Amino acid sequence: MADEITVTVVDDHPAMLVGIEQWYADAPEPVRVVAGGATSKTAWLPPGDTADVVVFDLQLAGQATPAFGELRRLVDAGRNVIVYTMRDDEQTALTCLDLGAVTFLTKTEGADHLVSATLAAARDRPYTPPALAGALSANTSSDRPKLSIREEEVLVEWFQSESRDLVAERLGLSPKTVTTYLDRVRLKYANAGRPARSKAALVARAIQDGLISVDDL
Amino acid sequence: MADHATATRPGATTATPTPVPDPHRPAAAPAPGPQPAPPPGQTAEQVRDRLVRGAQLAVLLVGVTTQLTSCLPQLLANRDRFGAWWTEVVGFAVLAGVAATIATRLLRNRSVSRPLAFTLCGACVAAAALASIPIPARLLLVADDWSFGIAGWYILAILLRTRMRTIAAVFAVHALVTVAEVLLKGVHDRYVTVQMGMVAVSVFGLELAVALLAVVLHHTASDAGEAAEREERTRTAEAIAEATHRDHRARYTRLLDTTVPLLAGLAYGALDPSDEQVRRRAAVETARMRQLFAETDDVSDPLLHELRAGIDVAERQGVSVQLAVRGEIRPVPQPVRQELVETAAAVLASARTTARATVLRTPAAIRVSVVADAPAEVAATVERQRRSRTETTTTTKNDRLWVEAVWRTKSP
Repeated sequence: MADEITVTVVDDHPAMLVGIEQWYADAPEPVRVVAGGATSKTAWLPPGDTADVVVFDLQLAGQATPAFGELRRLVDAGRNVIVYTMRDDEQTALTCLDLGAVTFLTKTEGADHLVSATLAAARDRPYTPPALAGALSANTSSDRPKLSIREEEVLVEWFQSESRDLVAERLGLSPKTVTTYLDRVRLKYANAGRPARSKAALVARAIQDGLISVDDL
Repeated sequence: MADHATATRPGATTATPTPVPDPHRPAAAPAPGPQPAPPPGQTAEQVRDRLVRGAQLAVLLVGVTTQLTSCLPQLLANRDRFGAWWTEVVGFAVLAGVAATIATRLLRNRSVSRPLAFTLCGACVAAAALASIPIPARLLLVADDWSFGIAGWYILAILLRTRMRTIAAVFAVHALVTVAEVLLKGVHDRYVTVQMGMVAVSVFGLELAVALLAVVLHHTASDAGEAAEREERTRTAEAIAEATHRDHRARYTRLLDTTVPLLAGLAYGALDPSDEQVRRRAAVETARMRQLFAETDDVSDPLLHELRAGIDVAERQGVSVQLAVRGEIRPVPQPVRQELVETAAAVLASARTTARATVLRTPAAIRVSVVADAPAEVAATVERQRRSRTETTTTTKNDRLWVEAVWRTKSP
């Protein structure tokens, strides 16, 4: 199974781990959890150290503050990290993105989003779940990338409806175009702020895929 | 997630017989939290405005008193002395008119626009010059030339609100006009020239000193205003914190009534986890707890608070509601809030099993949206609701109804 995607899950709730494994079992492509544990050590020691994707809970046992430091170290080591958290505020989402997490998911977003995000992360493709889209549209910081009106609309509607079909219906676009807009926004963010390998990989892959051209940068 | 494990218990400790107000009832008491607060800086502005207005009135009073007690007797005394007395009378009348205009504006608390202010200043300088035309050169600026000093006081009363530089510039114009007049009429006596200079310096000196006091007053007023604002913010924050605490306590207490029996039932085997009914109850409780955990410190946003009442109604009907909120809390006027919440509540109330509610606040708009498995007819009901301040869009697809209410604060 050369194409199998391997995942390390860092989460302090055993039930979560079981649930995630179950979700991956139903994924359209083979995904296997190779390691799971309550601390980020799991992602640094074999067998978790070579997994393609790290699913990372920001809020770990015994820590009062989000584990941004741990996230940064994992990103700097070149890991593809999906932040999967209970925290539902935009500042956390934006910080994770800036640190170089490939995507940010809240635990209210279910199986579909985690599976899709994992498949995308393993292949350096962008994935913007609704919670993250909401954070991006509410972002008022001065270094916010400049988005087109259409991109703003798609972000807002995707956050609100969680459904590509509904967004497509409302804005008169095809579901595929909706995804393209979301990906473009994600790439604009990848191209801003603190440099990270994961961000560079996203942009490089997008150029290969023809999603953006070098001139867009 | 560790913090949430500890957070699930407070309900138990606060389950005292004390009646806890239930903020979820749709017709609950007025929502806690900040009423639409004045935008920052407004209080400071008001304080400054009142202080400066007082100072303007004081200076105006000095001017009017001078004109009546000192200038008027001099005007009458000049009647048959220099000829062309009418220019003095006209000058006097114009200055009195300027004083009346400023007084009316100040007493009615109406602002003086910049063009009007400069017109009035121009009138003062012109009136002073006109009134001094018949006065012979050697008597200019001294007591017989009554119009010189009085114009300065009125200019000061008009411009006290503006920057020191502007006041000095207008005084300079007034001085130049006077100097031009002196030069035209020609003064040959050095003693008289020096005397004129001394009078000018003392008059302008006094008036500029008052203007400087006004600058100090400006700073004090700003400080006082800021202090008042700080105090107000602290009070608001305190009120919010208290309301938040009450709200949280009430909602954790409510978990006792709904979540605890469910958990107990599952633990003792009284409820079957494979039963569809039990699963639905679990979904509702999960959604409810998630909302509680996801809340940070700013729950006391009246908009969210009112929306929660609608969510609560849906939850009681066994609908699991997911709520996501983005953007900073902003004051939303009550009528707008009502329209936004009513639209969302209509959809929430007709949801069958699941609903997603979102609040998105951006600088351009406030959006409240609900996606639910509600009957498509609800869309028509929502569209029929009367609204004047918000826009609503409905979309139906695959048995799902999506309604979005938007209050635009800025044109896109």
